Amino acid sequence: MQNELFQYACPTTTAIGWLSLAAVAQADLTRGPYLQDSTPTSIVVRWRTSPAETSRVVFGTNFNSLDLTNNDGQIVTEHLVTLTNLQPDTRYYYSIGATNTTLAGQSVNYFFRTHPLSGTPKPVRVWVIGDAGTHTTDQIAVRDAFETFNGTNTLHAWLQLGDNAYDVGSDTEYQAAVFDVYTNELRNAVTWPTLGNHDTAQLSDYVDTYPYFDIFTLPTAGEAGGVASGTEHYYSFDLGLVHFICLDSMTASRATNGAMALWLRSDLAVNTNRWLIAYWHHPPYSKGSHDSDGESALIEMRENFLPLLEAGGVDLVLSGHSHAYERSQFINGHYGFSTSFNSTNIVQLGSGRETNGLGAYHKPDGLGENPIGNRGTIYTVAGSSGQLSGGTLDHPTMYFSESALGSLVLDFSSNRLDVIFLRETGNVDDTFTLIKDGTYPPLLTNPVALPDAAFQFTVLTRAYRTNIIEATTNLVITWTPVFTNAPANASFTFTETNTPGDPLRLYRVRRQ
Amino acid sequence: MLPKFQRRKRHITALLLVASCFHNATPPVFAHGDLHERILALTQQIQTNSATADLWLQRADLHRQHGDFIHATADAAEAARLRPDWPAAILERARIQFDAGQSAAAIEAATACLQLAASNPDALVIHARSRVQLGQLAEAVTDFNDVLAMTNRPRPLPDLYLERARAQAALGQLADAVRGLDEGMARLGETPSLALPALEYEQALGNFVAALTRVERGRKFFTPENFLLRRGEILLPANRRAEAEKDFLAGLAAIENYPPARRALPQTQELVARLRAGLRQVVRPSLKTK
Repeated sequence: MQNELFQYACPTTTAIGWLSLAAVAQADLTRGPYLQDSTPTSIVVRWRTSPAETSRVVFGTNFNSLDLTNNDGQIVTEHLVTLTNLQPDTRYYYSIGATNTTLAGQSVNYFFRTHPLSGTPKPVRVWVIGDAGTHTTDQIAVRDAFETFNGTNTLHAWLQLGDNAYDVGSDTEYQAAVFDVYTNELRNAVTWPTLGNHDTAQLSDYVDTYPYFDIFTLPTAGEAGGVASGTEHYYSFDLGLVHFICLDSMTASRATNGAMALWLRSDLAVNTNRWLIAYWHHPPYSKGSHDSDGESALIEMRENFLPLLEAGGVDLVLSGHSHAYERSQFINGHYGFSTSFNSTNIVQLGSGRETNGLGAYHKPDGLGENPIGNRGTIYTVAGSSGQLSGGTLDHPTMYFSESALGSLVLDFSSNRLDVIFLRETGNVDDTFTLIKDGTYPPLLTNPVALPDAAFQFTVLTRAYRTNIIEATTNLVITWTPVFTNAPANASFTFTETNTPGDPLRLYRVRRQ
Repeated sequence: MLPKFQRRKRHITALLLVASCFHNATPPVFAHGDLHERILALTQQIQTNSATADLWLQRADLHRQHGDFIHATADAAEAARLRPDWPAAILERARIQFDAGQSAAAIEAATACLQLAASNPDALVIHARSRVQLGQLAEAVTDFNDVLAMTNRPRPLPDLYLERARAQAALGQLADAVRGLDEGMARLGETPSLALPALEYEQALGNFVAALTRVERGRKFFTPENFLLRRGEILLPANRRAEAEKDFLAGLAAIENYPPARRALPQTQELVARLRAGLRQVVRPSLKTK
C-alpha cells in the first residue's frame, strides 16, 4: 500500500530516493487495534503491522479535535502504546498509525471508555464468552446476537473464559478465531481472558511461553485494581463497583499453599468492592462435555479454591470447558462430589428471576467494606459460545442447563446484578438477578443543639444508598419525609432548622 | 528495558530451538471435547500410523492428565522405544512418575532427560520437586537455583521462588530463603505470594526491625485489622509491649464496629481469637511479677 507522501514524492525523486521512500511506505494493519489493561486513568492500545514501523496513537475526548498524541519511535511489528493521565469513566476517540500516517481510526467507531474509579456506583455492562474460538458460523452467530442485543450501549469489558482459539492456541489461530471475529469489541472495550486447555495446546506446563502471553497484556502489579500477582497467569481488576478475579486453572498450581492461592487470599482480604466476580476455565460443577466429578482440574478448583472465594464473598463464578450452558442455584459450601450436594447447600430457593418463582436472589451488602462471606454464590458454565458438545447436563447444583449456543451478559447497577444467557438466535433462555441488601440499619446519633433552636445529628448508614429522614410529632400520625440523601460516604449530617416549637418531635431514617 | 513483546520474542526463539529437538513433524491431534474423545482420536491415528512416536507421546500425556498412569507409562515407553534417546519421551516418563508419586523414579527419568538436553527447564523443575518430595532439600535448592538462573526465562513464575524458599526454610536456611524471595520480588514485583512468606521468615529469625519494615511495606496485602494483628505479633516478641497492646486493642475495637453479619463470620472469630491471645501475651509478664 502506498501512502500520500510516497505518491507526491514520486515525480521528483531519484532512483535512490525511490528505495528510501519505499522503505517508509505505509505498512499494512494486520491485527487490531485492540485494547488491554485498562484502569481509570490509563489503557494499552495494541496492533500489528507488516512490515515494522513506528507507533503513534492520536486521541482525545472530542472526535472532531483529537488533541493528544503518544508516539513511540521504535520500529516494530507488534505495537504497544500505553496512554496515561486519562480521565476516569470518559469516552476517548482514537486513531493509530506511525509517525506520519494513520492506519485506522478517524471514525466515530474507534473509541474506548476508561474504567470508572474503583468503588463508584456506575452501571457497567460485561460480555462473557467461553470456548468461543472455533472460527465457525456458530461463533459468528453468538457474536452477532450480542452485537444486535447491545446496540449502541457501552460495553465496558468482555471476558474470554478460555479455549479462546482452537485447536492449540497458536498465533495464527488467534488471528482467525479472535482478531478476525471480534473486531468491533476489540477496538472499543478491553478483553480480559483466561487460559484454557486449547490455549496451551493441552500442555499443563506452568510457563509463560504460550502465544497467549505474547498476545495479551495483563496486569501483574495490581495496576488495574486488587493485589499484585507478579504474573499474567492470574490477576484481578476493578471496574467501578465490581472486582474481577481471573485464575489459571490450567497451568498454575491448584494447591492451597501454592502461589496462586496465597495471592488470592490477600486479594480477597483487601477487596472492598460491592461485587466480586471470579472466573477461570475449568468449571467446579458441570455435567456437560466434562464431568466435575472425574477430572482433577475441576475437582481441585472446587475443593481448594471455592472455600477461599466463598469466604471472600464471591457473588458469581464463571467458567467454560463444557460446551453447554449450566447455571447453578444460589448455593454455598458444596465442595465434594455431586452426590454430596444437598438442600443445606442452598442459600435461597428459586429461580433468581424477578418475573416468577421467589424472585431475585438476595445477599447482604458489604459496600465500602469487605464483602460478607458465605452468603451465596451462583456458578455458571458458559462454554457454548462457539460449539456444543452435549453431556448429561444433570448436575444437582444446577437450576438451569441446556445444550445451546450463547453468551452471558452481565449488567451491574449499584446494588443489582442482572445476568442473561443470550442465545445465538437472540432469544434469552435464562435470566437471574442478585440484589445486595443492607446488613445493618442506619443509625442516628444524639442531636447537637445549634443557635436559633436548630439542631443537627449525624446518620451512620451505607454509602451510595438513598436515605430518607422522616419526622413526626405524634406516633399516631403519619411520618413525613423531611430530607433525602444518597451520600458517597457511609455517614452524613442532617441539620434541622424547621422547628416550630413542638413539645416532642421524633425522627427516623429509612434506607432504600 | 525492551518492551515485553520484544523480550518475549527472544524467549520464544529459545523455546522453539528446544522444541525442535523434542518433536518430530507430526501435527498434534487435539480434537474438541474431553480427554476421552481426544484419547480416542489419537488411538484411531495410532492404529493407522503406529510407528509414529509423537502420537504415542501425545496419548501418554493425555492419560497422565487423566490420572491413568499405567496406560500413560505404557504409551511413553512405546514412544521411547520407537525413538530412543528422545528427550521429550523421557521427560514425559518423568512427569508421569512424578504425578504418580514415584519421586525416585521421576528423578532418574529427569536426570536422563537432562543428560540429553541439559538446559531443559521442565526436567529441572521435576527434578527439584521430586527431590523435595524425597526430602533431598539441599539438592532441590540447587536445582531451583539452576532453573531460576536460566536466561531463557525472562519472567520466572512466583511458585519457583516460593518452593525454593520453603526448601531452604525446611533446611533452617531462613536468611537464604528471605534473600531468595527478595530476589523474586526484584524480578516480579512485590506480590503477597512472596512477600508474606518473607515476613514470616524474618519473624522466625527474630529480625523484628526488618519484619516491621516488611509488614508496613506490605500493608496493602492486609485488611486494617489483620495488619494490626500482624504488626502487634511482631512488636510483642520485640518487647515493645505497649505498642503491641495498642495494636491488638485497636484491632478488636475495629471489629466491634463490623456489621453483625461480618462479625459472625468464622474468619472474624479467628481474628478476634488471635488478637485476644496477643493481648493475653502482653499482660502475662506483669501478672507473673505480682
